[in-house]
Amino acid sequence: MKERLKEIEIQAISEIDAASTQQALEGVRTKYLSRKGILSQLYKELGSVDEQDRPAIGQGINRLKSIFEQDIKQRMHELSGDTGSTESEAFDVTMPGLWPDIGKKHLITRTIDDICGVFSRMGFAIIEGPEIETEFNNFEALNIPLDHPSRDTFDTFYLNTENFETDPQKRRLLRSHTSPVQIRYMQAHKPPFSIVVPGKVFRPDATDASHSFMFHQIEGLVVGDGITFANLKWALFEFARQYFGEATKVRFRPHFFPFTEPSAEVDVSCIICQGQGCRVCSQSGWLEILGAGMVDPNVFKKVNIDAEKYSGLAFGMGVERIAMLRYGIDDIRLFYENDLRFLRQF
Amino acid sequence: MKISYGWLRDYVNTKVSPETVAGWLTMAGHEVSLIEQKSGDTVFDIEVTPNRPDCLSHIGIAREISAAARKPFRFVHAKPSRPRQEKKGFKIVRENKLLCPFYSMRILRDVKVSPSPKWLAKKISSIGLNPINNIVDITNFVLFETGHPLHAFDLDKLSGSEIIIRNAHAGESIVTVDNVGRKLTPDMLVIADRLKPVAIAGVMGGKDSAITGQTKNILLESAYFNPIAIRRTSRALGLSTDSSYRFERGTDRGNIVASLNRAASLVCDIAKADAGGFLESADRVQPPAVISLRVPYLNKILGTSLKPVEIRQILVRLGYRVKGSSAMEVVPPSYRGDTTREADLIEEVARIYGYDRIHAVPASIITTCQDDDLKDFLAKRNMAKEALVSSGFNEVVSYSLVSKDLLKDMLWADEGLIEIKNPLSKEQEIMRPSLLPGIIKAVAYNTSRQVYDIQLFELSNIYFKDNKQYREEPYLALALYSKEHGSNQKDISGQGFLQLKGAILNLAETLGVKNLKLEKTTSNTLCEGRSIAVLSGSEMFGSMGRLKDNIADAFGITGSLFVAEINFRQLALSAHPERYYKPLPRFPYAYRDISFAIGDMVEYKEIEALIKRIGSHLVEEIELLSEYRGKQIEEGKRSLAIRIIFRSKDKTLTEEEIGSADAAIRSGIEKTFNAVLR
Repeated sequence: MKERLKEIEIQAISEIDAASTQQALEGVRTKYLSRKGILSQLYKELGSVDEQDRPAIGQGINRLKSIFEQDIKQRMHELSGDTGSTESEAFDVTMPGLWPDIGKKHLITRTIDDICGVFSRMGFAIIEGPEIETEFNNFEALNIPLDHPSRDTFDTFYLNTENFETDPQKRRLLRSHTSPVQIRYMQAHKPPFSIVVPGKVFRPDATDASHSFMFHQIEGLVVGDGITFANLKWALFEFARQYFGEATKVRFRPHFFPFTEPSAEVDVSCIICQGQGCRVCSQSGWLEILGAGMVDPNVFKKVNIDAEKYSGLAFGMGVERIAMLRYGIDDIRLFYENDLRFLRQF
Repeated sequence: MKISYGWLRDYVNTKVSPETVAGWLTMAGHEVSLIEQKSGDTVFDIEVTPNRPDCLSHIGIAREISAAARKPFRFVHAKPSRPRQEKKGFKIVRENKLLCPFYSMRILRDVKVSPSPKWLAKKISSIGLNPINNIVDITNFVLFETGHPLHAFDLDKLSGSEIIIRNAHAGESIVTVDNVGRKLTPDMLVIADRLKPVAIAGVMGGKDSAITGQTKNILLESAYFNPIAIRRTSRALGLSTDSSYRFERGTDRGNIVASLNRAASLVCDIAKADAGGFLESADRVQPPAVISLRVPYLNKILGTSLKPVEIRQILVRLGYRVKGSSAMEVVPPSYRGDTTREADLIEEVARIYGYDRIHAVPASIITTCQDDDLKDFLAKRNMAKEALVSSGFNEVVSYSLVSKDLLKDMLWADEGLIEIKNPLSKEQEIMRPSLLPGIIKAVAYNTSRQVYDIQLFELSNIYFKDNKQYREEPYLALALYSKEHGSNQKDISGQGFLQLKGAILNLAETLGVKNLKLEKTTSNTLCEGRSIAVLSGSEMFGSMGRLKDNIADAFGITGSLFVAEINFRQLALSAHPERYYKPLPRFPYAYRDISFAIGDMVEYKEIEALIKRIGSHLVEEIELLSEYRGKQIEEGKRSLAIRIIFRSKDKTLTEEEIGSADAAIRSGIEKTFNAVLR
């Protein structure tokens, strides 16, 4: 039986190859593959084969069937002049593709999502808070006293509230940083926690290529038992590495913020020149991108967290600044003009 | 602040390069933002943080270099050229002791006012000031050497024989040395003679008593003024000086008389004066408080294992007195009024030890969950943005503050608007009560730059006053505008309208908004017959349609602009995006197309409802293939082609079943709407 299969295989293949018209090929198909064809006949004879050989012979017939079908199909293509590898009609493949009609998220949104994504993977929760704030949340609770020069950097838009001069309790302002959300969060939650807070902030700055009266910040806060300055360094190293690239170097410089002690300004190695010195980093090799520090005990006092039991790290960064550095944007106004030719680039 | 490297070397002995010194300073928290070469000297521009008034001088910076670099520091000891003596017949009257706890002065007679000697003029120029005359230059020199502001009066221009430190009287004014007349208010502290104010304390002196070429006798003042009072005065007058800048940050009370004597001895040497009397009036100074510093706590905050001896060395180098070991008692020097707490000392230790020497240590992971409401909202907001972006809309971010004029263009009613008390310009007067002005402005910005294929959205807050509450609510705005380059807009068929409607339907579908309805409405801003309201159940939370031409005109936009604005908070609340699997159909579908001419007054919505009613459970879907109005159709009618998809859940439909449903629908449309089938 086995030998017979072999013979049939050789015979059929030569007949398929020899068929010179579609009609002739159809004849070959009928001879072997039709209901009364040779393969059907073989299936019928299968009953009389030794039981132990039966599976192997069955598979052999199946194999022939699929080979013949394949070969006949292939030969049919050849006979019809359609080889399957070339189209008969002329077609210019260099014509432009049809662009899918999709939009883009704003680069600010994208940057916020990317940065918060890094912190999310480190276990931080993304939190938001209101833009209209009280003086307490924006200043006092953050250890920024009235009539202190440290307020100079926090010039603030006030709302035109009733009895503005005489009723400071009811005064409302547009937050000048995202830090008031720290205060709100700490008032409502018990440590430990780690949060990042993206959002809009407002400062009465005259608008030019590098200043805007409205911009975005991302704030981070971790409070727990035994949180250290060394942990702060780790968190920001990790962020810089993941966001700017593995080789990014980070430098902490002492600085002053009313709401952290110790405080630091944090530089990353210039992402344009890799620290060699260029125009963007003023030849220093470093770009300042973050403010950070350990939560000042006075801040904990305002939100009734025991500074003996808990410590905290905090940091903040400007979203537009980071996007400008990363994407080489030289004018902050581009973010708010909403020119589609700008928006579609990212 | 400008600091001369040459000048610094008078106090700290260093042979290293200016760049190295700049590096030390930067890494000790005094960022050197600029290094300039200037006539043989190097000048640093240093950003001194507001907590460190002690560093607003060459000696202050020299002290920091000495601590950071372990270099010896040489203090300048200025001795008065004559022993102290009371000036007979002259008196200091401190009427307001609270705002002026310390006032001292010296009289210097027979001065020769002249140009400064070369070395002094050079020092003054090195930090970017113009030399004026020897007396003024000396007070400036001492200010930038020690950080303590002094003031010199022409003694002969003062009436009476007393210096009075008092609040200004109502209605008083003074012409200051910059030749500006300034109105004073009773909360401002002044230095006065018998008749009138002669200086705004700590801010600026008066012109009448200023040093001139003719000055013979001088009264030199050195005092401590309350920082808050000086700051308020300086801000109220809009006048910030080198002097007020230091007083409002807090000056060194241990340095008042030393600076006075330093200046007096220079005046005697340089201007050949006779040292006259010294006079002081002061409250008792509280001794500086002792601060406890626990070494284990310091290491716990920093994540370090510093030994007491290292900590002590750092603090001593910074001028602190330290007792004890693991629990330290620390007394700050008089110039470090900024360090009053343990936390402040920890920062000092970390700063001088070097932030770069504290090694990063992974924090134990604190995983935190968002509160449910916020989590739900943020997830839906993100879904909405994804849905809009995938339907071709680009996100914009526009200013939350807008001008009144912009709102006027939108025909916006005045009520409920939140005004900004201190806008910098007219562009920032009002908190936007709607996203539409911003997004329409963005459309106009694009069309005016030949960008005509515009689909925008903004999902952000609007602001309004509601029953005296200041509110902010997330809203969603969409804008759609389309025009071929250089051609007129061709949107007569309402494609833009349907495209925007489709985007909203897709958004609602993505978010799983239940019972979404879009119904005809009228609006102030949208064209009659081209506007619909967005509702869920009976609650309306938005609208969309074609912007009225007069509004579009006001923004400089020609042609049809389609816009929508939706209260996103409400939309999100009615959204239930959770999905459950629905079994896939098991049997094939069949379709029939129906074309007919029908009266204009019949709405598609009615036709659709009729087909569903007649076809019942066999109708799976109804598609509008085309709408046509025009030459081949009678006036007042339109032709519609509709495809009906038939499918049963239970079996393959037979030709007969499909045929009879199709026939019933055709005759229903014909009879109910008086339509003409084709």
